[in-house]
Amino acid sequence: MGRENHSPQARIRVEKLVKSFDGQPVLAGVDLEIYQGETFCIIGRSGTGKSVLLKHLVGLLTPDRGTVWVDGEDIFRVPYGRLRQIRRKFGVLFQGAALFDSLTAEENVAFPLRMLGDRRLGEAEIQKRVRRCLAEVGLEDMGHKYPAELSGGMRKRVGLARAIALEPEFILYDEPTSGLDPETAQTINELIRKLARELGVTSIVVTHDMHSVLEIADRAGLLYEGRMHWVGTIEEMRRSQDPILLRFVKASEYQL
Amino acid sequence: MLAPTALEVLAHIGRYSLLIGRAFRSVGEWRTYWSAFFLQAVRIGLDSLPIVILAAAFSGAVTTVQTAYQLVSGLVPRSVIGSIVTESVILELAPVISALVLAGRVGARIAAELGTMRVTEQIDALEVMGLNAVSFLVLPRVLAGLLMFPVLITAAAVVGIAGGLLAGIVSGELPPAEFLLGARSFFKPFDVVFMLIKAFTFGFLVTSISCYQGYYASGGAEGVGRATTQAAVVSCITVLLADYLLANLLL
Repeated sequence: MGRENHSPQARIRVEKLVKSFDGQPVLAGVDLEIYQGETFCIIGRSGTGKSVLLKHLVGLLTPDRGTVWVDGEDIFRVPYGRLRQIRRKFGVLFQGAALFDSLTAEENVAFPLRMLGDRRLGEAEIQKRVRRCLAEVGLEDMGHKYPAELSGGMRKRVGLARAIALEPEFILYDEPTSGLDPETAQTINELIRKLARELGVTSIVVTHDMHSVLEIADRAGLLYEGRMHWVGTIEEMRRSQDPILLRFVKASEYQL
Repeated sequence: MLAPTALEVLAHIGRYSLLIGRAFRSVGEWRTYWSAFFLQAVRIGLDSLPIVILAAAFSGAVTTVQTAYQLVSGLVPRSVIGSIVTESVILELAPVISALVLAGRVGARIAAELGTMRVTEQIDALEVMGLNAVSFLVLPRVLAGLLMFPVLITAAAVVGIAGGLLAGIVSGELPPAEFLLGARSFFKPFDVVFMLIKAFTFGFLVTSISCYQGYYASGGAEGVGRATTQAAVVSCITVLLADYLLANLLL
């Protein structure tokens, strides 16, 4: 496995990522570095390929050109077995939570714990961890419910509990607040901040919700016409005069 | 439905082969798939038993009545009806009618389940957990098909013959003793082997094709609907094709 000496602290490095669907270019050479412990927001209008970019980070999509390095490993050149191990560093909260609908909330959170082949946990230990993860997202009483019986916000929280069950080093969030009322969205934002702080995870959040960005992000990057048009800290964003960034922020009706 | 071009058919066959190959690649992790396998064996096998038996009983009964109607001549002994019905049921009716019924019942179910998991990102979620989602979803279903289709089709054959026998009694055309005499006189053990070969083949085709259709579903509820229809249609067509090929090769 080719190890290269990138800037020492970048844990994820996206390199000239190109991807098109049916001849329609979506990503046209994305470069990006994510550092240990930060919360990075990928912003941009709908349909600019934010979720496509996110799915490349865990190898759910394969790029036409370019690649992604995770801790110095090129995830598109390692064998599939190794990719599966690399993926265990990640927890992902999908847009629709992607809960297994035939399982209760508890069973959903327990699922990755039961399925990991290498270190088998005892049933008591699994139950303890499930309770802890559900408590982390404030749903300790909802464990016996099925996904269909939960509200959209609760489903996302269960999805988050499942994502942290294997104690990931990275959490990826795909539009965590979309489709939620402002108050529930606020709860999710607080959760993202809390998990970043308490678990020390590196978070990458795809969103078009500027309110969310200002609440949670250390840094943000604007995806525009298939490239990372602008990348910087929130402070830099407040001072930036970049016309495209300003247009996106203004359209969100948020004063920086 | 528009007919696909030859190139599209080839592309499907290629992608299908890759998927099934990937499914069997992590066959060594059987412990992960064990409970899923039993669940699928129950869903594919036990739950399908009533409809398969119903179809078999009627096809056996109809064959008796129809053969009796076609053999009106007094020159042929009536016990021949028994041998024709038994042979037809074992060689063709039990395996093919069961497989067509199961293509609708099992195939559609598999495609709808996997298709929904695909469009709601549940398959992505499995992959991200570090599971081999293809193996996890496809392997238990295909193995359950390989195990349960022969069981179901054997049951169908027994019930089909019994249905034929019963129809002989009910219609008064053929006493059971004569039916059984005919059934025994031309019976070859290879017929049962041939039936089981068909059953394995159909079991593999229906479950694997349906998994393929569901796994690559896209485009929300409509996509799942399309995958479900495709699973049933393509399964039926390949079952019929395979039926003809096997008859040519082995009979």
